Amino acid sequence: MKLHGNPLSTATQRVLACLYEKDVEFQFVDVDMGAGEHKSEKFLSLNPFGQVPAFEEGDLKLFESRATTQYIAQEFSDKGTQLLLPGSNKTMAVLQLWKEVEAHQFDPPATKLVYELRYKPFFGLTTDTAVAEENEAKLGKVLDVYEGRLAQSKYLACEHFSLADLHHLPTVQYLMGSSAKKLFDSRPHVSAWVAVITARPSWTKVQDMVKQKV
Amino acid sequence: MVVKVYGPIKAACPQRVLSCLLEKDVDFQVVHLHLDAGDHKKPDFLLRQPFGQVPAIEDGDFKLFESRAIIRYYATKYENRGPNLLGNSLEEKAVVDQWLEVEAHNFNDLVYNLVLQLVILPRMGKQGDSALALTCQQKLDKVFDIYEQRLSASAYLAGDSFTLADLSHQPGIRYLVEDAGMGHLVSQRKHVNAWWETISNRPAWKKLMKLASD
Repeated sequence: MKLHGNPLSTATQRVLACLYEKDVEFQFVDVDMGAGEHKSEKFLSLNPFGQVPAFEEGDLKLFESRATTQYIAQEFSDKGTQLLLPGSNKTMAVLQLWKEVEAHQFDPPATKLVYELRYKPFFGLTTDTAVAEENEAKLGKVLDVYEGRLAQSKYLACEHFSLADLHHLPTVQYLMGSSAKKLFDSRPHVSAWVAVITARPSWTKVQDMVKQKV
Repeated sequence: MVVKVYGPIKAACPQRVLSCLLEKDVDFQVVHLHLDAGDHKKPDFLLRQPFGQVPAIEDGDFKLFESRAIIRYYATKYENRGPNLLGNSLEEKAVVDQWLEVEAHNFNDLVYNLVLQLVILPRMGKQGDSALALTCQQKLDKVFDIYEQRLSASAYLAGDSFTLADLSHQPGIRYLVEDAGMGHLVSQRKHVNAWWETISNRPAWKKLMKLASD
């Protein structure tokens, strides 16, 4: 299995976390985004949208991090951590629901905040405080729903760690290193959940890759 | 047992679900919500969908929200009835998933913002942001170029048959072509145009269009 990507990219980290949870052998191929490698013809044959990561296993080529993690979690269902809710269509649907929530409710404001509060300072650009405030307010409302959910359920989809929680790790980690940390710290159940999921050994391995890159 | 679908029949996300239910010949009842009266933000609806968005479904005791989670649930539940909307092998299912993710992450937001500025805001008597609309249109042009390339290699996005990946695009493309005056994005591309002609002429979609116009 090959994963082409950049350790600093949230989408790449999402798939890396999944591969580590599953304890499977894979080769990581670094894509030099600074040199525009992700827009090269060779990379576009792996992902026509020119985005990282891209995944290969034998003849299978996949892109879109959330389709890739779903495939890995199913293909290696018997290995490593159980990241799905097998058992019935209904339990799988509940997992799917919380994966969709991450993608459509959490990710949009969270990604904009990472851009304003982490990416821009890193590259010497000026944070747009109006955009940052607007997205902090939006993310706050989403986290209110999470607070309610996590008061009733140990993890988002069920009582064990699943893909629904894993998908949040990259963006949560970046935000915990910014002024947006307060959004998570001020909500007790969300705060406890963040502490638990970011302490997972598989996530520590991803963070080690990030540290080597920076 | 009739599936209750909460939301206006003319709205895009409920239509995604209804198209799937019609493909699978599942009986449903649309419970209309008046979005301009804020029905979707009222306490009893928030119990169904804590983010205050449509649709939500109720199937006996089972409740679900997020349209893309709902279509996956019903496509799996009725896997052996009607058209196979998921693919067969794990690899085929992964490719369907990939193009569903493309719709969700590379297509949906551009269409949503374009339609918001050109159609929805003016209908509400407000000024649309034409600069934003233009930016969305330019980005959407590039996305459709990738779709054109993909559809020159296969009849449908994930392969040789109609799947959830194609179905998920139906409501958004209808808005572009019929309401937003953006039909040229489709009609000027030979393979995208042929694909839209095919998927918009499916009996299930045509039935939905009739129900929505009554």
